[in-house]
Amino acid sequence: MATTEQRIRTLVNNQSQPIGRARKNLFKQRFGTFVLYILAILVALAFSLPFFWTISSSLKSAAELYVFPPTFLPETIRWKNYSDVFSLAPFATFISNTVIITALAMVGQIISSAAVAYGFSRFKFPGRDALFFLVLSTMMLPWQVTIVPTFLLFRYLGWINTFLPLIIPSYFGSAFYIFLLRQFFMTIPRDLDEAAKLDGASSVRIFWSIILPLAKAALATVAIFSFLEHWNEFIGPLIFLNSPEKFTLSIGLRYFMDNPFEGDEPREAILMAASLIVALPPLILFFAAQKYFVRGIVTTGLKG
Amino acid sequence: MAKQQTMTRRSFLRATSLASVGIALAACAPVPAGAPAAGSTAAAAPAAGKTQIRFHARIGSQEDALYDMQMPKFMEANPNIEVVKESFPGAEYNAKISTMLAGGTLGDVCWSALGGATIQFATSQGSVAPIDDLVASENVDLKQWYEGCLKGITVNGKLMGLPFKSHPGLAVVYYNQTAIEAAGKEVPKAGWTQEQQVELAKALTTADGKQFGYLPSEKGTQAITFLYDLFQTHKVAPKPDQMVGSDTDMWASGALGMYQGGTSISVFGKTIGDKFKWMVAPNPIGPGGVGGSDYEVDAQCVTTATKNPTEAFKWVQYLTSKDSGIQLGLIGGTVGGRPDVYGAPELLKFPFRVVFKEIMDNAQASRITANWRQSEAETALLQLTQPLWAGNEKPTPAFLDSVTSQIQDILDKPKP
Repeated sequence: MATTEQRIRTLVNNQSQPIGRARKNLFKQRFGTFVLYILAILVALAFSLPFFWTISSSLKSAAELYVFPPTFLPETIRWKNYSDVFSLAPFATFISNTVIITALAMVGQIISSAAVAYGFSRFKFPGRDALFFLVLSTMMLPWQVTIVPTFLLFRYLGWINTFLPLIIPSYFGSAFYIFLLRQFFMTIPRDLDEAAKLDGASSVRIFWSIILPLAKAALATVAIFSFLEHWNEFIGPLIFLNSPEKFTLSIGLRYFMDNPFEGDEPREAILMAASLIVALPPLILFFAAQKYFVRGIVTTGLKG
Repeated sequence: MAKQQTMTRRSFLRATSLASVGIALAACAPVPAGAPAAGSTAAAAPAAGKTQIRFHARIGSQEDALYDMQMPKFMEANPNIEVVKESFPGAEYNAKISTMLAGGTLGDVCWSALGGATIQFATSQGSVAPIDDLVASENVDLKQWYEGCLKGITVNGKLMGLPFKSHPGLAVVYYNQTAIEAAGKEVPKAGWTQEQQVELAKALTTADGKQFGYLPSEKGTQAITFLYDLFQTHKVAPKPDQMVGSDTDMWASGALGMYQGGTSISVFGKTIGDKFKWMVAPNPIGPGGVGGSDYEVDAQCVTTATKNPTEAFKWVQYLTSKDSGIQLGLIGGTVGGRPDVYGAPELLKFPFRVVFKEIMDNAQASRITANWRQSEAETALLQLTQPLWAGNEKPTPAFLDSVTSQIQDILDKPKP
């Protein structure tokens, strides 16, 4: 028969085994997390290296840019590159033109796409599905197919060399955003619509006061995509705009690039500075709107 | 209690339908008499009594500087003409001109070039007009420009513009004078041979791979075997995997002892600064007894869409004048295609321009493919010969025959 002391010793031994296993598991878990973090940091560094190289190049002189082997940090920081961007080309004008076009086009795209998506998601009417597929099918048309008739249409309207071709089409919806918003609207429970109807709200009132506020995350997504699309657009401004005072930033960057088959004075450092100026607003917008993505995932609007 | 006014879906749809029909009817209404025609793209109506000339320029530091300098001077000398500049990115310039031509919004004056058979394409497309009649009516002395330049922009026997800028092609060897002196060698001079060039390139190539003796141009070259030896036998030229950045990057950074380029590479002198001394020499004499060159020409042209050809031609003449050509050189880069520009004292004070003048005065005639598929043939040649420079192929008769036959297939195609 085991003594009390022996029994106590046995008990202690049995308890320490699970504790040791738990410690091992915890170590494995933490080590795994550590490895994942290291991998993520390395991959992030690899992807962000071109961006940091752009920053570094934007602060170098032209001579330093061509040093061989290349150096990462500039020997002398040349902030003048940023002022040269504005003195060598009417960059301030390009910025204001791009802001005007982007803001107006973005608003139009959000409102029109949301309205159309609301119709497709909330109302049943004959031919609804066929119409929706027709809208989606317009995504299959490459822009090379539509640019010629579009140009001829705007030429007939007398809109060439104005901002109108770059803004007005956005007020007629966009297939991708209509699809995206429709899918999101369909996740919003109809209980809310019915409750509002019982209170006497019209469809427009429901759309404005209930659906839109609940769809902030989706609308923020559309806003970001739309902003990027119009901020970076190049082909549209190239084709529809002729006067330099109407150019946008995407064409403005060309002021710092060489002509093909010809050696102009190298301006790559200034081009890097200009590129950073152009990239800054989309970056700021992305980080500012990030929270709306997270909220939208967890919120459906139902309480209690 | 008053009934609350709410908009139902039906009333909303009714209202928007009526509004849409109204807008459609308004859009379909005929243009009132006297109103500007649809598609009019004039930036602003010209001042009373002035003829407006829309000039399609390429965006570029040298050309922008010239246009900004010359436009006020021209308009002061010609108070009845207003020049409106519309600038487009160089890489998309031809596409923009084609678009404007197709859309009926083309202006009065545009740029074109011999390179890539651009002016030939423009002629066949119908965007540029022959100027023989204008030359005759304005009594323009064509001897002002290099004959070879004029021939280069003559298409189907008709002169399609006036030479704006011109150079003798890739006929210049830029050399690192500092490196040559450090290697204890003599700098190259006009009349040097290819053998001398190879010896110099070997002396300039360092074992650590930080400096190569020579980077030739692969474009338009006939002597493939000579080039192959530079890359693989003598190992004085960087192979594709040894290139760091572009060829001009390597030249400006001092990684090349010699570099074959055009006259526009001289603008990199500002970038090189005090890093090393540099100078230029003509191409070495080859087995054919010449150093190799051909006229490259940029032209300013009167478009087929202009309603004011005389005024447009005046602006073309101004851009291709001696003053404009010299200003191009003072700004930096390729200069006007005129002997009085290449020989201008203001430019000859730069020693490298003395060499440029000698080369230009003796440049060979331009050579483009008969079917105008110059870019297509050059691109194919570059792609097909890449294995040679990379060392994956040798210039055997079988390889060269294969390259030749594929290039010949392109040359046998009809004109676009």
